[in-house]
Amino acid sequence: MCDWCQQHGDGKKWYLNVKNFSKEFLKDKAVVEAANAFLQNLESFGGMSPPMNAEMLNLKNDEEFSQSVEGMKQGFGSMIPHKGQVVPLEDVRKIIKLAGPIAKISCACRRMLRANFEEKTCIGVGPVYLEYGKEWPDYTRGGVDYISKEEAVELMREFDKKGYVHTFWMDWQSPAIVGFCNCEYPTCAAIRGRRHYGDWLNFFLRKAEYVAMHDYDKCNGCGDCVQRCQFSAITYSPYLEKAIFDMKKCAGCGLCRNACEQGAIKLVPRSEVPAVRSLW
Amino acid sequence: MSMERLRELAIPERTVTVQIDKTKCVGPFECGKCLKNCPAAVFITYPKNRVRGEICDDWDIVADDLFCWGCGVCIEVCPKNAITISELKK
Repeated sequence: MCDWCQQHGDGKKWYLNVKNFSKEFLKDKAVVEAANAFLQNLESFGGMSPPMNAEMLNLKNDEEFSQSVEGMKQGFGSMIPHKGQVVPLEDVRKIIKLAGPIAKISCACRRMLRANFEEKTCIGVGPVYLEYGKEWPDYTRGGVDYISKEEAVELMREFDKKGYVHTFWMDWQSPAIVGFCNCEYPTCAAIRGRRHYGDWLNFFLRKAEYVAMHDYDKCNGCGDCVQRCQFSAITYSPYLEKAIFDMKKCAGCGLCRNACEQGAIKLVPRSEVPAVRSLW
Repeated sequence: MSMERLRELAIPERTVTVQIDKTKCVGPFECGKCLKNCPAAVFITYPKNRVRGEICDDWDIVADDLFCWGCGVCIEVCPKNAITISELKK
């Protein structure tokens, strides 16, 4: 856990602190301004494939490009320590209990990277973006569909089965909660960012508070979990005839559990595994 | 910034460049086949000017070619032959 988490976690995980779900944030001018700027500029700003933005991608001169990367990194560095974190399904359930209102909207990354305006996999849960989303119809194409807590849990369970990684996001300037993303590599700007650029990008997306471990004796080497992993953390060893989990790459999303008929995979708290305790 | 610094940030060297001929391209709304089919999701579309309360219909397409594998799927699917991939000579 970083200083930011401890400061805003109230002794718990930051996403389970009810204070961060408060409507009070709407009274803060800086938060409202940041939310509107986000809704206006997300696609052309660094959201797409951090630390890239549209302007930088048009620079084919490597010298200018390098300078832009440095500038962008400093820009990100001045913001809060992390914007998003991977959350497994059990924590998703806990969050939804605290959350309200909940709505589904079209996914920003699918818009940017796949020109798909239909699939509504972004689940907004905080008041901040839902309040202003309606004012930016180009961002919330297809509308803002409000759903109940039960529907939200059911939807998240379906996404989990399908193989989408759940990530939970906060506002870029404050600990205000924004919502869930459900995505995959390479369509998710955040997940692809982590896979492309590695661990230094953890100010953008953090790994979960958990890490996957498998029961070596129970594993029958079927290999079904391998294709479930969106972080390329699992490989199949033909020599051992078992799946191997690279715990340093594991983001702790828990999706591999859906594929394991033996029930051999479980999530353990990251803090209990010394080698990955400080890897976020 | 030196090459070493780029390596430290895991930013790869650009080996291929993807050019989109904007005079031929019909845009992400009417077509968008390059975006939908690219296995590396290299193409990115974004609104040129988004105004509060309005739908923006003018979205531009750029290519994040640092991560392009040069497989050529986009060239195959583009109905207007607007895309070219060229290798950058060292």
